[in-house]
Amino acid sequence: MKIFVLVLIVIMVVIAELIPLMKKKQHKEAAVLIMLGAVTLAYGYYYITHENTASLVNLMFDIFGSR
Amino acid sequence: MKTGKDKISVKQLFFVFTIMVSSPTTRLLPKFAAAKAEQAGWISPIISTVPFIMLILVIDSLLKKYKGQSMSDIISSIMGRFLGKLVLVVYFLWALWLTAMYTRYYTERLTSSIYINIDINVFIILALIPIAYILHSGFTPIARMSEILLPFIGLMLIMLSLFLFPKVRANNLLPVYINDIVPIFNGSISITGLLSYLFLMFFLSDKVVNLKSLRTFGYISAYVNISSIMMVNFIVIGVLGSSLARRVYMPVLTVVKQISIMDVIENIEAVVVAIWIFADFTLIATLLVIVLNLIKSIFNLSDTKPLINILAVLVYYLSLGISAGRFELEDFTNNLLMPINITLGYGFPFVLFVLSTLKKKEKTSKSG
Repeated sequence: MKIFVLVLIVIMVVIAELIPLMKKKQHKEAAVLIMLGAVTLAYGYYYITHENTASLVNLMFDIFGSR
Repeated sequence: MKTGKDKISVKQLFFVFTIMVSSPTTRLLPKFAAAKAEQAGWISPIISTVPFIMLILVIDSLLKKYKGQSMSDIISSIMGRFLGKLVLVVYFLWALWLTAMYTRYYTERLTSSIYINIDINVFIILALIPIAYILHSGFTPIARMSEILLPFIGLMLIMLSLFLFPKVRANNLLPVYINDIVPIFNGSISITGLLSYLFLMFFLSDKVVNLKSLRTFGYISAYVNISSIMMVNFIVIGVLGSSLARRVYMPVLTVVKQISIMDVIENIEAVVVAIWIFADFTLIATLLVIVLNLIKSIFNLSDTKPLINILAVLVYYLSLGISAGRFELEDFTNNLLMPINITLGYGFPFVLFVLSTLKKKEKTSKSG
């Protein structure tokens, strides 16, 4: 259910902004918008499927090797 | 100073910066200063004056050398196209991280102070929707709102200090010996780290007019910020004592709850929380504008308004997934974020300054 809401919101937001951009022929902006949409979907999916264990802070501690 | 559409003055930029700093100041700094420097923690902001003023001078020098350019353009001019973009990506990630982190802190503060049984999702959504809406009108409304808000924050700080001054105990603040210089220096790290956000603000320098007065307003800002942080630390450590101040989750709120004047003026923490909400709103909105400006520079875009909504959705998920709880987040802020802040907020600008000076010398020797 949560994944459905995520996909629905991202698609709605991206399409709502994409249509005027395509009309104005701002292709670069459209590409960045789609890229941000994809990143949001990917991270949103990761967060929803790992809700109890997902923690960016832990990831940072692992990267910098300090705890 | 009159400003054009979507342009702000240097004064407004520093107003926004002061409000940005005020929010984490009340949450983090007294606790950190008390933990590191104990009773001498209230003196630690003085140490931060030196790097902060040096940062102002470096930014001023860079902006004077590269007139009319934004900080992103300056970085690209000095470091070259590829390295410049790489550095901008690092700053983009830092700014995005800070946006998600402060959104989470804002909700954590509300859910652990007065709205204990409310889901954090509610507050995140309630913050991000109006922010995304306002940002469609540009950065100017945020800057103008800060002009109105800052006097209220200043007034609140003065009034709270006056009300709490009788409760300050001298033995909580003294003695301070020469041996305390190392703990005082350690206590100043978090303050120095927070003040490093000034460099991030200058990624908006293409929106700022009248940069000639940067130094003057920079000095005023240094005075105002350092003295207000010192005042907050003085009151909190003076009333609670260092051992209690470092253990309480929100020492400022705990201190404010103690205010009672003739049993008439009581429970004024609601006012403090209301001002915190506005300050956090300004902080998150400004960081989002910086993120958008960095995206604009990285991809050479003409307009970033269509990206605001999707960025707000991304920040929503990032703020939920940034940590499992507030203890983890505080641990990260105290141990890892401050060195990152200092490296990116002070270290890199100084490297940039040195490189620009070397480049200038090379040019002069070639032309000579």
